[in-house]
Amino acid sequence: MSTTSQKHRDFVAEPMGDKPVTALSGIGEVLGKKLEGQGFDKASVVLGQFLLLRKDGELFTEWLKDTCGANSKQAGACSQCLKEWCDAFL
Amino acid sequence: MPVFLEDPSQFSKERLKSELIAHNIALPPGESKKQEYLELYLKNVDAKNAADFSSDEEEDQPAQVDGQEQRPEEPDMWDLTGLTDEDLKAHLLQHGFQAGPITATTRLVYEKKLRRLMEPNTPAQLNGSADQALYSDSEEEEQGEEEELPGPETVACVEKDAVGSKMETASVEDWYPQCFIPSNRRVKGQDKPTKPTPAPSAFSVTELVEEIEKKRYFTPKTQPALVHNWNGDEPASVHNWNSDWRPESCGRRVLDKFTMTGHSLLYSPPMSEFRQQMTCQVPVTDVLMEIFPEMEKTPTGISATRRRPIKGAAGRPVQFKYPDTPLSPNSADQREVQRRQVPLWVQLLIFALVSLLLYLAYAATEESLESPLTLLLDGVTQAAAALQEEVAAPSVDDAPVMADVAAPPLLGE
Repeated sequence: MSTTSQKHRDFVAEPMGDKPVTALSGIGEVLGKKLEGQGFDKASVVLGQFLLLRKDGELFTEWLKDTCGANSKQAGACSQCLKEWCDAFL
Repeated sequence: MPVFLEDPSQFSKERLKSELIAHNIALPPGESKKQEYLELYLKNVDAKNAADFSSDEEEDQPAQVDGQEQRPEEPDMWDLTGLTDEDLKAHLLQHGFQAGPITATTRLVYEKKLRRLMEPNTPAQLNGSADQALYSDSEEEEQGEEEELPGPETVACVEKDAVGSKMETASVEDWYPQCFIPSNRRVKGQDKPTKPTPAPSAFSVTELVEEIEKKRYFTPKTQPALVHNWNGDEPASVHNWNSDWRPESCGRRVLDKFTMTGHSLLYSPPMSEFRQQMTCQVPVTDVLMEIFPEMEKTPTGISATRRRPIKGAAGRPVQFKYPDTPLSPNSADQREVQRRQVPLWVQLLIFALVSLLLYLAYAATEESLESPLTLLLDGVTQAAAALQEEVAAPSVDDAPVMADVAAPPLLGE
């Protein structure tokens, strides 16, 4: 069983709508700023990237690390968060 | 050799086409870029090149690989960024990975993925193909590899698989005999094979076991089990796996087998199996020695903690303990009296109370013989009155007096 943070649970509980990138689990202020600098200003855009990578968790974590310098834990959390969201709403 | 040294990227387009046809690879319909032919050639010829490569020495191949990054792959490495999206996708597909759309954002990730896929591929392919190509008896090779694997594992004393030679077992037993022998039995799992097999190994290791015995600390339970093994009555597998411990100790214990269950000359009084198991699980048994250094040294196996020195015992000057020599009885009595000063009075008081109670009980019994309780009560009251008039008489006389006193009033009334 994986321990999920409150942020994760909050994100996965409802459609993301127009939530900012920082609403994603594992993405805080710093990483959020970096992602926005890359053009990913909304969680939905990051979701788009996730879907582009065919919802591959490994690839997505790899991408996230390269794009905003996230560590393995953060990237993994974000990946897991998006994956569950997709399972629920996609 | 010379053929392989050639850089496929330097092949002419026609050459590539012919090579592809030779390898029965479907050519792209129509005229395509040389790159595509090159890709296809590299893709399909890689394995074969690798197979031929490894025919000589595997060491050379890695060297070559490192130097040239695996020649057939070179163009890809260089051109990874120069690959078109489609080519990149095709390459990923070659390695069994279905890639999504390659866009500006995803391209980098896919390139890295492809790079990662390509690197471990060739060495693995080389090794695998080498084994298959070179060695006619691949099974032997595999067996050899498998045998090597259990070797270090046994040394680690984690789990023991089938060990080929007894010598290996003996050598390992130098370090972890306790862990080692049972594995044989466990693996064999049968009575008959286990009997003969451990015997020779046990004999060979007796000396080692002796040494270890001295150093180590054994559970008593192992002994009877060992004895059983010695006699061959029961397989070790039946008992705990610790049982295979000491064949030579079994020899000593034969006499004690029936008398003692938990005692051993070299063993300390009952140690829990936990320690034994723990020691077996933990490869380093010296810790136990350190924990119980004293235990091992006792020849009788019985360890006794040092007692407090007896006061006044030999070697201890009495003067320090008793300022007055205890030889004089007066002083001793005085001490006793002093101790009992307080309780003495209490004892006397209690004695008086008890005697009074007994007297009352005796009196009651005496009167009850002649008259019921009511008369007794009357008699008591009259006796009290009589006592007040008369002088206090001995307790014994009161009873008949009271009876006499009671009788006349009864008679009178």
